[in-house]
Amino acid sequence: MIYSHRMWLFMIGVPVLLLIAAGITAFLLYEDVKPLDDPRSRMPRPLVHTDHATFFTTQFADGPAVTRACLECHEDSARQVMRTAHWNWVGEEVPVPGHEQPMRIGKKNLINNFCIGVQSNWPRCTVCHIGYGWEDERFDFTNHENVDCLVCHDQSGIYDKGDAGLPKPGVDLLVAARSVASPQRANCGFCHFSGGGGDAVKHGDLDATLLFPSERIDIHMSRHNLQCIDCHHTVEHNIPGRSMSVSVDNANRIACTDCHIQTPHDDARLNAHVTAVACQTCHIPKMAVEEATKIAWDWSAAGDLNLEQQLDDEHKYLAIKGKFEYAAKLRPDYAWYNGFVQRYIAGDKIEPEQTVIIAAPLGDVTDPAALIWPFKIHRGKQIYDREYRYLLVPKVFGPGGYWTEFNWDLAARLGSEKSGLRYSGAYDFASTIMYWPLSHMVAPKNQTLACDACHGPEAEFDWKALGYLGDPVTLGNRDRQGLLSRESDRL
Amino acid sequence: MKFYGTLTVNSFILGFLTLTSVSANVMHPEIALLDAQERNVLESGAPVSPMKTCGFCHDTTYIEQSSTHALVGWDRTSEPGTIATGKPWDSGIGLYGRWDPGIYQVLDSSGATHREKVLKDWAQSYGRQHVGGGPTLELGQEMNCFLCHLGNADNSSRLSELAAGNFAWVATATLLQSGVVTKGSDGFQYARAEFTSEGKVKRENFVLSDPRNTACGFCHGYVHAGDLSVQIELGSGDLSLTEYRGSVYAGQRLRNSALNLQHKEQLDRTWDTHAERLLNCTSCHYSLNNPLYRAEAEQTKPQHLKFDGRRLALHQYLYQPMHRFAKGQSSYFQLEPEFKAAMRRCESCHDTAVTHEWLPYKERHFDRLSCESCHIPYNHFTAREQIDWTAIHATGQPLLTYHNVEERVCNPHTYFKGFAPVLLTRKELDGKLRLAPYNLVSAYYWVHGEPELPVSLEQLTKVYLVGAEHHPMILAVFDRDGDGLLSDLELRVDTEQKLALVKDRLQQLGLESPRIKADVQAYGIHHGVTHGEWATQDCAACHSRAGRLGAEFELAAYTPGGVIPSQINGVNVVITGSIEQTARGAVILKPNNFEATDSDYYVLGASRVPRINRLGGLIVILVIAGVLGHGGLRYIFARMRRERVR
Repeated sequence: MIYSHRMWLFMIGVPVLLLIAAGITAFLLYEDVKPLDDPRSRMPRPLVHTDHATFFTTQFADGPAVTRACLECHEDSARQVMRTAHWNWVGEEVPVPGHEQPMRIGKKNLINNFCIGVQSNWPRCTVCHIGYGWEDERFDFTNHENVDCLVCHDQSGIYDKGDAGLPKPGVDLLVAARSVASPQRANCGFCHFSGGGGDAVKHGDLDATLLFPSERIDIHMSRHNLQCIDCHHTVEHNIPGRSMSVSVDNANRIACTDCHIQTPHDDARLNAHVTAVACQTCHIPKMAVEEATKIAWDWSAAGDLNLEQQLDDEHKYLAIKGKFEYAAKLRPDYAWYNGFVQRYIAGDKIEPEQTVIIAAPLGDVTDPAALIWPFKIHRGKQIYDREYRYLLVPKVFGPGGYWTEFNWDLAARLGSEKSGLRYSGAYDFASTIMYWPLSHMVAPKNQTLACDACHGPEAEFDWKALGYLGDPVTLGNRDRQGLLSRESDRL
Repeated sequence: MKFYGTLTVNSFILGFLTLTSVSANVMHPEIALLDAQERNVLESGAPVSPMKTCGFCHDTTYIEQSSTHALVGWDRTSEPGTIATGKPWDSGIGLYGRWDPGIYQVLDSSGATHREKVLKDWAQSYGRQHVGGGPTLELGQEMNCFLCHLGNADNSSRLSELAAGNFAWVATATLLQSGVVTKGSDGFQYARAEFTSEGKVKRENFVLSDPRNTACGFCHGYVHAGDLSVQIELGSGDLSLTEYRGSVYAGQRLRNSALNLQHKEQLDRTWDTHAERLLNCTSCHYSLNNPLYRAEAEQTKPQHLKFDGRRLALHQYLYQPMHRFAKGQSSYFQLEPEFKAAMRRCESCHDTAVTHEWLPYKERHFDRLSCESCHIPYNHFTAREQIDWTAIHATGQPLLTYHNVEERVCNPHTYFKGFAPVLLTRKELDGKLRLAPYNLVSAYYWVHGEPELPVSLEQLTKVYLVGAEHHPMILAVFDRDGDGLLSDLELRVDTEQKLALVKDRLQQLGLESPRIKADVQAYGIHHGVTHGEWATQDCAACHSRAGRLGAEFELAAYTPGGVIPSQINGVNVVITGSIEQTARGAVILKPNNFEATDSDYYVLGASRVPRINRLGGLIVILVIAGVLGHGGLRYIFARMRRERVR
């Protein structure tokens, strides 16, 4: 059939006109559709893992032998690991608030109010080091073979580390090596769930219940079965994330908004909260949801074997460690936090009569970058030098340590030899405090804090302690209350 | 080391440490507690006089005279039998004068000669929900300002003094929890340590402020505050919002309550979204001359004005705060109709046009439906269904039936299945009829004589009890299993033998022609509101024949003496439908909203107009006939044409 020129014009023209009409209609009908909160779409897609079960056939003599085998294919991995804080236990050089010179700080040289410090106690502390054999100050941080691949990649479940981070005797390294895969929650949890000497001790939001959590405990790790590295998205073995106990700057962090949109609520009032309230504040209504976490540790009460026998409760008293307090299902404390941290550095002078802040968030109501965050507060009472007025790092583990000799003077002397902090011979105990921000154990949205948890007379929430003039629900937000720093605004 | 201030708060701990001080009204000055002779009670040891104590600064005389809570209809009483909307024995339409089957006590049956007894009876029964003053002034009970305005008012001690008839000390008892007064074997003693050297009460434990929700909750219904799970003990007629309407004013999610609710794990909604959003009772039920809230009624407001800036100065308001509070228009008694609908309506605060974009025919829906119809779609708890005073427990209490509960309600294991309120048409002040949710409660009781009068509790007790146990004659007939105790089921007057026995015993007391009477009261439900996510959004919920508009509603689980209530009482309610008895003996209402001629409702999908149905059927038949006829004729003519061609 032969079509005339006019017919061709008609056959093309009509669809074109229809398309134009459709376009105009779509434009007129277009509404500003709210962006969907589709966090899955923003999550990194995990690589398909290669099964290593057939790669290894002969038994390994020790941990480094496994590492050598890994490095045959993953040539850069050890080099990558050795650039991280997981290996060095110190970070990059950063300005430390309150100190003039920038410093490299980390677990390696900091003091906390749990087991106090690594120096002189290496073998026990370095059970959680991502390497093999760190038993004293002479550890070789440049030896690739010392990198422990298995602690993060073993999926057999049989791998276990002992003192100085060496595999425990009896661990079948061949089975472990053949099982390797991307890290799962159990790998990270090996150290992060049991920091401070036991499950749930250090963090208020990380414990073994996260291995197989119910929705009540953590919505991400239960309903969505997220692994740690789904959020702590790792590139070249650098695992992002910041712990207030060892970091003071606001870099390399992860945030809820990495996956969620900034204002995901249907309710405009809830969305308005994001300028002053961290997501975690409402979505982590309780910490230590199942397992009790340690909230106080009094070293000064240590040494009483009779009391230990009498109480017979390791969650209340141990002669080697002192007196403890634990709590579960605890409403967090709240404070402003702008991402930076006030940190006690070894050698800083203290006022022993006052509570010494070891780690606390910076920011206040006037700071536009600061948000109200939930925290676990851990209160300690720990040894300090009465003459030099600084906190000491006692040797508690090993020969001469307090856990064997029950002698604080000796422990302080031996500890000081390794920490470089001079010991005058006179010691006492000072009250200390550490803040631990909460980001895990996120509750389902139907169990978040409701308005009356913080607002209204029945909430009995002390807004003035947070710097407000009164409850923002009636007085308006910090901007309306004239509290925000205009200078900061301009910055 | 440089100090960096870190501000923190642990509300959990602070909550215990600071208790009420955080929210204390620090502007209220310390006060001296005065007695009726205006002497400091520290010196006189006499009962506290709220009128004199608060009257030192506020105009308590005006406050009392303007207080519905104090007067409770006492100033508007008339002779029994003259109340148009009442029962023959009602002498008023307020808490004073109107007979409430929930409280039961019948007043003024013996006339003015027993005035003091009548007053005492009233104060000890109805007066549990009364703030004092008004009718009880004669008994020495003043209006109790502390009950509503003291942060830690002690209501249970107040009720104890009431029950003991210790009226003059009722207000003082309200202060027990504050610690300014103690009660021992020698009576009330004021605690000097709680007073300043000037004889004023120290402010720390004596917080005076606007009424808290919990204060309203003392008399009106269950109000929840704090972290503890909602736990409700039913059975008290005092809490009418909860008992009769199933309303709970709590911001807590239902799933977090301690109640055994059906599908609890899925109930993420809060008990009341307004409570969740921190609205206080006074946010809506404000004092009518409160300059912050005062709004003129739509009916009287000049059309050219959206806002009238003329207000009381704050000091004037504080001196003379009117104690008539804004209220809606479906209160079950018509007390003070001049102040009816003084409250702002939902649309006064909410922009319904913006929030209901999804809803087709918005205006039509708003014109015909109250907001509560969709925003109180289901009560997941319960409410009273039936009050049966035809028999009483050994405790002197009636038989109570609640909607959809499997066990006795006071049992903590009770399983609450909830109930859907019945939708009835309500005639509103703008003259429009709108559907609104209601609970219907039937009351069964004995009456006698002509004009009829309910059998008093005293007489009923004589019939049923001997001391604290059921009478042997009652046991002989009622106790089917012979265990010496009467269960709820056994106590029902459901046989001729039981009926005859009780009638006979009532007649022996001198009562003429005792008989069982039953009536039903409609209670509008306005609390327990939920937000859009949980509100009715399914069109078929109403727009179908099996939808809510025609859903049957149980009025009584059983019929004592076989009596079926014949009418339903309710202010503003237009009730259409039929009351029927089911095969299992329950009484139900079959509402007929969409076919009510005076309501003029036509609900797509639910209503039926037989004429239109018939017309539609006829049209279908005609169309089919037309198609068949036309086709048939064409077929015939085609055949004929073919024949012709051949």
